[in-house]
Amino acid sequence: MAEYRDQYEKIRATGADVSAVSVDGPERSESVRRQFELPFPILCDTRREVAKAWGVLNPESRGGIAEPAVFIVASDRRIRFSSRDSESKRVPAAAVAELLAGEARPDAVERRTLIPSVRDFLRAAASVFRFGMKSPRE
Amino acid sequence: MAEEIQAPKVGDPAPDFELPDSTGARQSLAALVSAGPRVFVFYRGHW
Repeated sequence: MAEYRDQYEKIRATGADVSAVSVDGPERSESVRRQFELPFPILCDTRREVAKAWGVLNPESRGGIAEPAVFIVASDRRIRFSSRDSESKRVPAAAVAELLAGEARPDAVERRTLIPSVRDFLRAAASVFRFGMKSPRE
Repeated sequence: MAEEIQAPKVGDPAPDFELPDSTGARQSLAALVSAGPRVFVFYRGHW
């Protein structure tokens, strides 16, 4: 998420915007949003409906969570780019920004091992300390 | 393992939704993409 915060200006400059999605409820999501200083909203899919419909739900992990994934949806609601990722190998936000800016081709986007900054790692740890590892169902 | 639902592919319409955001505001897919493309970043939550 923090990566998208850092790329947000570039993404906005292309006319696009960002929404994060997780199965966390509003309280936890808002806490994460503030901690990480995210300039975009976090959608709360507590019933796992969207994660399921978009094919990214992992029902066996921590009470059912969305696996990391990125979709770019155009104004006609069609998917322009999608990537199902893992915690360890993901599409960098910088690559998404380049795609939107027309600087890269969708089929040439690399998944990379991404390591959070120490500061963002500590922010995430603080959130787990406060809310626990699991996300309850609504 | 993910459940046996096919992820929509590039070129497909994204499945519609309406969800609350972290501030409690209702957000529909149609409204979210009305002003331009939007990147939806799914994350595992809090970590």
